[in-house]
Amino acid sequence: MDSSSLEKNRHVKGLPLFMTHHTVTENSLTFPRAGVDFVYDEQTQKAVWSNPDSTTKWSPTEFSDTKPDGYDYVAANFVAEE
Amino acid sequence: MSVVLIVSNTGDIHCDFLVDACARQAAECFRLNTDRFRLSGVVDWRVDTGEGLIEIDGRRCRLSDVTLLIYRRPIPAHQLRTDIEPWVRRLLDSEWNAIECALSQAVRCKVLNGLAGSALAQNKIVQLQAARDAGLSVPETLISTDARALREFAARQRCVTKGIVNAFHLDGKDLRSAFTSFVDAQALGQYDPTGVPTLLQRAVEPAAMWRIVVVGEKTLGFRFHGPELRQVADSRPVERHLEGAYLPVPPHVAEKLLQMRRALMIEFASADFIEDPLGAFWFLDLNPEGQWAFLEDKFGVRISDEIVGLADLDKSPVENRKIHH
Repeated sequence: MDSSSLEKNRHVKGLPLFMTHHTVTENSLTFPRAGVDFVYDEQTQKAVWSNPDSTTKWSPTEFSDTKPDGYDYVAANFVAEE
Repeated sequence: MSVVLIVSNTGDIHCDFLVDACARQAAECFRLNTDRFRLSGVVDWRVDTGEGLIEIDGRRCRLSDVTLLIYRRPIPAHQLRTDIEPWVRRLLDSEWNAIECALSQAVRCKVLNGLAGSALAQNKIVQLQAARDAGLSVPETLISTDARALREFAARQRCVTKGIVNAFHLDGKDLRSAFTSFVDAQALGQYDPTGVPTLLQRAVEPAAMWRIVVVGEKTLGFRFHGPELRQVADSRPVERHLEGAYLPVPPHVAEKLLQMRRALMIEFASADFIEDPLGAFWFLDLNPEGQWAFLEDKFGVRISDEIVGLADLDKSPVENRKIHH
């Protein structure tokens, strides 16, 4: 682990157990973008979808590319036994 | 006049489904998308007399005409702006949020979901207690900051861990998310939970998982199974690969789940159960704002019609009542 990871991990000690293997993505990529993925039609009050894969019929993380951010949260939160 | 008022955002496809359901049931629909309405919508509300009018895109809605109010993931439009100071963004969204929340008190009809109930129902501790009170089977669950208690609990059975409220957390522009995961009982000995409430739950062996959508007094059951189910603690990453079917919910489960819904003071929930190899149903959790459009798409079950069907028919003109379910 490099020094920057160690520095970061000092600040994430105390992370809840369920978050130790979490993934990260840019939040704006987890929901469809007006003018990019769809255009809202004021008359029908519905979106016209140019990117059907962006519809959030499923969990938002289905659509975004969420992955580990490279920090070792396990190392920061699990103390090796003596 | 009978109007279904939807408070949401332009990119929520569930609301597209609801707009279609309104058309099928000859109910007028007013979609208040907060990403547009907070910037250019018109509100004219005499709070002392109760007369309220909202307007956008040439469409108008009197609050007294609303027969069903649906909240579904409104977004803070001003916080997405870059042309004003952050504190002004927060202030504006806070004021708009107050108005949108107050709509639930101004309309005299069903609200899906009532905001107080919805907020409380997102809490997994509250859910599990309500499920237990309703007579549903709940897996052994421990929330503790005590290292020894957690270790002993995990040593007795295979366990999972998850967030107490939700597993999505904003970090600046990033979204950090975590699925339910299995717990390594041995490694747990090296984890210090001091100051960190930790939820452990017995991992129930799945023969199948059920997504049961509750709308008012109806339960719509979807049973999923497949080898992938045994390999993960959270079905969401694999649910596209599972085989599924729309099936009646066993009456004893449906009855208790409806009892639980009433206790939580919500009209809608998307609940997850595990069916174990002996056929017993174990309540895991529910989401008062859960996704359902993929179920309508995949199985052709009109969940949107069930939701719009909650509109208060007594407030509708007689000629409209014939058309409603």
